[in-house]
Amino acid sequence: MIFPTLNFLLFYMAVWPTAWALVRAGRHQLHKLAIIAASYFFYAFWSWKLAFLLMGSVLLNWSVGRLIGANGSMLLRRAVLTAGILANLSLLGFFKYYGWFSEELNALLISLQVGRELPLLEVVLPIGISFYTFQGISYIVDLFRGELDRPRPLIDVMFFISFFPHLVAGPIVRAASFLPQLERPPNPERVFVGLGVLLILWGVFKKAVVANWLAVSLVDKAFFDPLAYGAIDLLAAVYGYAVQIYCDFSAYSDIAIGVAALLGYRFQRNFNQPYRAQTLAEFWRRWHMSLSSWLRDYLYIPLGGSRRGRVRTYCNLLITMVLGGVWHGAAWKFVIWGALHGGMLAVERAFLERAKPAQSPARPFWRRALAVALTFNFVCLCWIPFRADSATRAGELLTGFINWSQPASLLTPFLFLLIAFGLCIQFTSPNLLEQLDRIYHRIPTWAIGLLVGMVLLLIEAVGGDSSAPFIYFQF
Amino acid sequence: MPTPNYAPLGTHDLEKGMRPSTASTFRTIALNALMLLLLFNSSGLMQWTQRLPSNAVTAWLAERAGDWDRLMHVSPADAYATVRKFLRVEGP
Repeated sequence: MIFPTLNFLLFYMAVWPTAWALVRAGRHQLHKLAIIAASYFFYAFWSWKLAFLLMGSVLLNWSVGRLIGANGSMLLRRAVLTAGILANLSLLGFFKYYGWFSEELNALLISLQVGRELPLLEVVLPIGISFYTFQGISYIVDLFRGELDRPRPLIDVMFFISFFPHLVAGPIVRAASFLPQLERPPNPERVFVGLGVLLILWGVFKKAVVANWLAVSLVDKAFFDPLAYGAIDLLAAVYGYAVQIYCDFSAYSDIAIGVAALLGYRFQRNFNQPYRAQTLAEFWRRWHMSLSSWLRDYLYIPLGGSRRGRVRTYCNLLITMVLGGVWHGAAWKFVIWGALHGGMLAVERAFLERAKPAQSPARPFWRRALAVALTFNFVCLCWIPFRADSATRAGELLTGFINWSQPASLLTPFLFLLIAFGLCIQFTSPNLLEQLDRIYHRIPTWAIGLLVGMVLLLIEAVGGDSSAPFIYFQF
Repeated sequence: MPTPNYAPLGTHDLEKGMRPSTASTFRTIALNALMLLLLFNSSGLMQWTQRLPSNAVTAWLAERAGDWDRLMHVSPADAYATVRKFLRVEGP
């Protein structure tokens, strides 16, 4: 079941009143159970067998949490935590990386003329496993660090890990920020309905109109056969992909945050106009914020962060970004993508450390604009290996940039406008949502309903008939 | 009756400056929006019922959705189909 579909609408139309009716009836535990049941139904829509794996992950982390919470020596608690993290990573490793690992190892063994081969298994990738594994790790680590005061009951851990809005494609919700919300029922008299409705509409628009059009009419075609197109189309496809992946993934996050808000639960923001970043480090503070802050707090800082000298800092950046790349999928292209980002973060850090003393606090406009353009183009360059099916295709696309003789056959004025729109929304006022919320509160509720209906009809009219799947589902 | 002990509203960055309302306002919004969609996009509902796994219930649903769509073609869905045709640019 995916968000902007009639299936999901009907599902939500059943879940939403049930959840609030149980809160109003004072049945908080039943409310949580109803949402858990709905979440497993939501997940089982893809595969009911894999819902058992999700349940296994919940039970694993709940048990580890109880063991960490039981009074014991620091050494024992640390050992339990390590075992818990290893168990989580083994689960993720087997389902996500075994196929890739065995293929690569077999290729190596064949090249070394060693007869033994690892058995090749057709391992199904459970949807959302990267997201819920990281949330499970967040629970046990937060507990160990004392950011959560005590182990939570099974029902809360199950709710936290399986809650359907974030289950399959994030945002990666942190235990310390979400679990305290489950201690008391959400207040039906104080719900961020305006925020929820605005985020859902904005998300549906970005996905159904911008991301789908760019994917189907430009990006997929150009990346499938780069040799068939000239530099104008290929450049448009790369910039188009930058806009597509932003609109696609941020749309899912916006809808997830909106859907949760209407049920009275709060998630952190996941995107904050990333392409307006002036440095790559800033880009990572604005892009997929729930993953980048997870990697920072649970990987980069435990590795030593920037506390152990320059060289170690650069190594830590590289390791963190390469592992962040591998988190996206079992393929060398993600390793390359992560290494490019990690390497550039290290270079940028070294450069900025040297430039710091001479830097004035207020940089002139042209320098800020140049910094934004450089950062954006570097990010776009990295999207090429990330999106391309193989190194050969990525190479063909890069060499195609010199072919300026071929006229554009893919880029239409409409697609150009969509790319321009995707870039312009990076520079709107950060308070735009707040301003829209103020307007929302001036309009009568019935009229808001009609407006929402009209906007959805317009989106459906402008959006294409065929739609591309959410990109982050595959991760 | 004692006041229920509800969870406090957080200070999440997205919520700053936003005003909360009662949960029931969403019911009004959803019902009005749904009504508009059913009136003007009855063909979407019909297509959805046709894609459901086939059995007696879904066949009945598809039939009813078809009836509804025919009924709406008196005016609202036709009007929307015209708008849709006007807005649809060549593409996916």
